[in-house]
Amino acid sequence: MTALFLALLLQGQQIDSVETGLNLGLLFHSTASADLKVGLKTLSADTLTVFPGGCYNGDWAQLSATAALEYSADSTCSGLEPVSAGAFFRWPGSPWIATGVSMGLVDPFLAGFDVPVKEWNDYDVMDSTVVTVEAGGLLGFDSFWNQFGDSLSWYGIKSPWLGFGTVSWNGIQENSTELETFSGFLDLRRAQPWFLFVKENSQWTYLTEIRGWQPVRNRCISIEAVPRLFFVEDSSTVGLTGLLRGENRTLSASFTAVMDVDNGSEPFLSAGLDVLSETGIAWSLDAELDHLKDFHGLVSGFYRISPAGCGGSLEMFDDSLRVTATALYSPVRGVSTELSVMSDLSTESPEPECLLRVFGARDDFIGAITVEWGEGSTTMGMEVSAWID
Amino acid sequence: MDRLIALSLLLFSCAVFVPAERIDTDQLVFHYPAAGRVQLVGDWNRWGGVTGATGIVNPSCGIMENDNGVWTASLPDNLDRGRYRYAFLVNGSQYFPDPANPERTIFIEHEVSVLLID
Repeated sequence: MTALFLALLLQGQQIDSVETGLNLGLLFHSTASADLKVGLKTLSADTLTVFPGGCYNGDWAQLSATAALEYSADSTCSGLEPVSAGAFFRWPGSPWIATGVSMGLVDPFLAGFDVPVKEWNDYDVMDSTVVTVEAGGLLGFDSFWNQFGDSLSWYGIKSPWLGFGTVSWNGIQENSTELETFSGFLDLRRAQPWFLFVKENSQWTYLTEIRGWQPVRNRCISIEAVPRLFFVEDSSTVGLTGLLRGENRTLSASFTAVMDVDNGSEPFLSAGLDVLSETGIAWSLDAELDHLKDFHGLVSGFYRISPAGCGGSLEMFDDSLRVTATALYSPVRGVSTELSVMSDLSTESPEPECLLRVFGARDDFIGAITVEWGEGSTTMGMEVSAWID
Repeated sequence: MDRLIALSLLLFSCAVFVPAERIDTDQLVFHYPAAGRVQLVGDWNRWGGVTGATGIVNPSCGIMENDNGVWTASLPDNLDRGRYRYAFLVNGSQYFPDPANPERTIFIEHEVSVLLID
């Protein structure tokens, strides 16, 4: 896990492409803005941050360090401050036994079903010193312990590649707050029951769903039916989701109905459809109806042909109606311009808001200039990011 | 009877503890000819963030290959079984869910896709 973050931060790539040896790099990021109503003379740098870093990937050790040098709009410099650092060691010849010390590299995250049990950044730990211990290898099990200072612990045991499925147990303890999850699935070949138990301060939540049941499958499409059950204390909810996938990736659709069976409340309904037509028009439709009264709908169609495209979308929130028209043009490879005009048609005198964005990318460099105007103001923003090896 | 139980336990153990085969590396495809760059970001690469999942996105993270407007990328082959959220980041600012994948959820107010690796 820590090794993954080391690689991600300093290589900017996925871990399977990490090169061994010493790698040094520097990430440059700057934003600027101007009020064009006053004039271009108001253009000033909002932030200018330089992240120098380096890492060493060896057979038994991974070392890394990243710092930040930040200049703010009032021309003050923060000085070189550490962003992340880590030293991680694996037992020679064994991928299962490891230990390390790090800062800013490990962020507790617990995946759930639709939403995570713990989202990235839920804990403010990026400045904490973390001691990591990993041990495993027995019957495919792997365990880890991350101790963040003296207030937070994140630990777990997992076996992701069992023959019959996978199991994972995680715990997070912060002062007197305790969170435990037990999750996984059984691979019954034709159907896979996924389950998730969450215990937070003696309150239990249980979620389960059956995956892999495909009543329709042919050369063109497959339809998967996903029954779901949720139990939270004295409330139980049932749901059914239908997932349609086109075998040639040009069609997908979903339908979901969820109902609280204990309270007998009105159901939550949602539907989605994405179609890429042969002529190159990408259609998208989303609709949600909560308790049969709160409605949200979005319809969009974009004609995307190289090097230009255009389209529009219509978004409905109960009584409001928002329309967007967009034109795209890519004059050369890596450069893209976009002009969008948006307006809320539900107001008495709808005023359009416009956005023009010119974006350029080449190798490890990206830059963008954005001009927004509407409601009496015109602003310009600039952003540059570059990764220099 | 004892032998039968022992044999059953042995067979069950073999079935349980033989590691399953990992999935073949799959490709994700996104049709967007007018894009200057498309990056594949998700839970597995902490959404490309340099200082955290919601921080500045590294411009060289998860760059997809462009073949006449069809952007492709392979999934990392080290992903464990489980669920991962992902999206296509277009021109460094717009998050698009995978139109070929009907499973959707939310990541910091953006509609994104859910990938199941089983």
